[in-house]
Amino acid sequence: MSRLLAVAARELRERWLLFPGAFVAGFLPLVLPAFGVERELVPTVGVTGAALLGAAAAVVIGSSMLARDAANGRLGFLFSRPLSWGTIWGGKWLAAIALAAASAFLCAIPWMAAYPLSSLGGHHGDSWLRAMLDGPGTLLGFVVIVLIVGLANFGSTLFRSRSPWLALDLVLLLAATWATWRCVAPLWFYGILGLRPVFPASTLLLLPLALALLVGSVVQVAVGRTDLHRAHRALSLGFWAVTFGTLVVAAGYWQWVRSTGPDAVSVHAVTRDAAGRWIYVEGSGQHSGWYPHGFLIDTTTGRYLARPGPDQELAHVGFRMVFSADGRFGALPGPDRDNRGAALRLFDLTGEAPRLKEVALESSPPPTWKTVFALSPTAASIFVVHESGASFYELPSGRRIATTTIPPGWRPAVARYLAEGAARAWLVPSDDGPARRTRAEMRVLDLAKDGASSATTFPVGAAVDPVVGWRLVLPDALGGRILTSEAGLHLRDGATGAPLASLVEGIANIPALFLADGRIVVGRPDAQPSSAHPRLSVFDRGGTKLADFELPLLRPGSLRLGPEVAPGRVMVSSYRGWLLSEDALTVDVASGGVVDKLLPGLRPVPGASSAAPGAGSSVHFFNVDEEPGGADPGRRLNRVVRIDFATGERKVVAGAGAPRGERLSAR
Amino acid sequence: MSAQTGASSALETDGLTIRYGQTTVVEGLSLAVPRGAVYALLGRNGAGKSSLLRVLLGQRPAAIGRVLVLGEDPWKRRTSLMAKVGVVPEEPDAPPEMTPAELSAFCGRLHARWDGGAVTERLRRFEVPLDRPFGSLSKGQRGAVSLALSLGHTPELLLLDDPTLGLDVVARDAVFQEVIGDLADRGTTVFVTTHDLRAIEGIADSVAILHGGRLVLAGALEALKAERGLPLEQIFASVAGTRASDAGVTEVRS
Repeated sequence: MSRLLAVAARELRERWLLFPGAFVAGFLPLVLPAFGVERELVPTVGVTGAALLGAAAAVVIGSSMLARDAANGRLGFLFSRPLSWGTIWGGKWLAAIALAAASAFLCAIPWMAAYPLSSLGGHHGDSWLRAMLDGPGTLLGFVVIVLIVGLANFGSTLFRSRSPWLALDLVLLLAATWATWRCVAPLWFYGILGLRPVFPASTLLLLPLALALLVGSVVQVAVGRTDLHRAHRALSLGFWAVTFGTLVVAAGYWQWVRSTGPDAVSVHAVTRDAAGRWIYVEGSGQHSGWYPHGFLIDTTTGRYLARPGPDQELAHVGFRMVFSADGRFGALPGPDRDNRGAALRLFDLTGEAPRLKEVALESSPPPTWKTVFALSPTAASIFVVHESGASFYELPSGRRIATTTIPPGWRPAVARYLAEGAARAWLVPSDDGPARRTRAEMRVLDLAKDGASSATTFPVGAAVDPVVGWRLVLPDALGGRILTSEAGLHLRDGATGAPLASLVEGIANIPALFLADGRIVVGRPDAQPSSAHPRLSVFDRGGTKLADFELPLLRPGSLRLGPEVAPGRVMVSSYRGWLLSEDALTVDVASGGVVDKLLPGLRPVPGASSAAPGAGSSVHFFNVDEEPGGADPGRRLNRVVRIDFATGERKVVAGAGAPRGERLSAR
Repeated sequence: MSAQTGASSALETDGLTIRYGQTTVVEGLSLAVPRGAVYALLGRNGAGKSSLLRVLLGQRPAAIGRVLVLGEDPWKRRTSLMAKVGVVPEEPDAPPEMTPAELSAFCGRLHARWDGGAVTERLRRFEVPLDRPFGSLSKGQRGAVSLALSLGHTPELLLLDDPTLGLDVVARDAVFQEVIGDLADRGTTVFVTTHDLRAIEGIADSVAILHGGRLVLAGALEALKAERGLPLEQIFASVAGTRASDAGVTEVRS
């Protein structure tokens, strides 16, 4: 140990001028107020200056401690003494880290003394030292110092050796960068590496690089010794071995994440085709961060197709699959390969296995979470509405066949096809742009394939919150009528927004459902404050109340309606909290009677509701979670249950308990 | 030619080949240096002398062949060997900011056995200022410091790599007088590479001539001169002046 310290002390002695230099530099922030800089900025400037000085010191010693000494023969002085390579390596690295850390600290002393932490307020107490040592910043700082010293050593060794290995290093650097982008970046992007607050994810990402540089320098000294060319070769081998070893582990983990099947996810979104054969689910897997697993599942056989690459997942903004009304096609919207426009993955569901076609939508802007897509009944076209315009695109060519612009200040809420060649979108005030303000108005936009378009702005009863306004419009299946939920629930003409009837006055966020025959069902969670039970109201097509009855569900809770599982029969559920048991009832809207009840353990999941109703189909899908007190109460295990209300058959088709069917490849 | 080997050898190579990448700098070298001998390895610039020294010091491995220094493999046992070996490099390599006194103190922390007084005394004898940074000393003074430091732990084997290169006559004589005077009595083995033929003529027991990476002549110095009837300079010129491939290896046994 004393030999290691002797080596370290000699390294520090050679560069001792850095210490007083750093201390003097620490006074520079203190004179800034004399030049008009605000006093409160001094600590910020001081911290930045100290960090930069520490980094500069790390570069200075990192670039000279091994490569320079090997190049000018001075490393031989140590290697011709009874010093092991470990002592030489350790002494030099100890000096490098100490020099960088001490330089930064010495540079910080003057302004830390002049600006006690307690004088600045904040949440870090009254000691700069304690504030620096607390938290993960210290570990990050240590890793960064190792990283800078190691990189400086690597760079200096490359530069001084000028060996042909440099070409190989450059090739491996390109390969490692590519592999990092492919295998490590997604792990970070999806929070799979995110171990906050124990480790900042950035520290965890930098650790393998720092480790590779450390191992490389170990091999450089142990094998290369005083020969610079040999040292470069050894450094490269050590560094790249650790780097690619880490990348292989990361690639394996990423592959494991991507190989997850629909039986191993907790489902948070479901869409379905009209016939009830295909569903598209998204969910999260254990140890997969928030990677959005997506599966197109044939619920009759269990076979499934995982959402395909290439890695547009990096630009994924949560689009879900839309199905054509004839059940023959499914379309998954998203950005194109360059993220410069919109694209579709169009699945032809008519064959034995889905056939995939990538479709770029001509002259389309990249989609955002405010973009709305609707697929035509036969998938002959798709209607895309974004904040600045709406367009029809022919499928499968992707050619734009009609378009219209939308003035600033609007965003789409929902869109419907009126027929194969015409579509309608309802717009609400946007929270972006110069027109950002709350306005008591909405807008309806019609577009036909021949390019004819019209738009009407109509007043509503209360200012629309631009953040949540898109949730306040509910059109019927053909877009002829809409329900708007602002200061009550109002039935309006779908084409003009003209009011037809007020179904509920005063309150907002009222659950409602259009039935296949045109009737409207409205839930009233707080209809009568004195009552312990929510109520259900039924209206005819014109908004005249037909019935009103109490539901055998407990309050308070968020009442949800749908789907219509059979003509005139609606699923009603109330969510009262994660650990509170709830019932999901099938209610006959004519009599108010409870026809059926989902079995205990099938709790519809709030915010990730059952798939949109399939008109005329007896098959419905429910996203449910475990009964409270289940096997793992600490983790949500949402799963999708398929129920055929004609036969009574029910089975789990996604999530825990689902059979692992054959994994298909899109052709 | 195979070397004479045995437990009495302080230094021994057998079929040693040294390569830098694709370039072979020493090929098939076999020699043995008896303990207590003063052995001179002669060769022109680029003959492979310094590369051989680096292998003997465990600073790079042999590509082919066996190397033993004081009975141990220097690549594997370098740390323990360096406690018994002193080195004077061709280019003095001590840290330039340290004074000779500081260098002696620094080496004292690295060696279990260190005679700082003897080092200081030797430096005084060489008239080297103890308080001037090593980097500001003359070349002769730096060589003298290297020599003094190499002897501070009383080594069993002293390796000198062209120690008089660039020195004036007075300094050169001082170095060799120090080697002769101090070490001969102690029984320390001295292995010196040089092309300073006159300087070693009076002190070396044995010589070997390396040419083009190959050993072309080896033997006891006096026997060599007697056999050829020539001074060492002319022997060297006759052997090293030809291409290595043309020169048959000659061994003269005493």
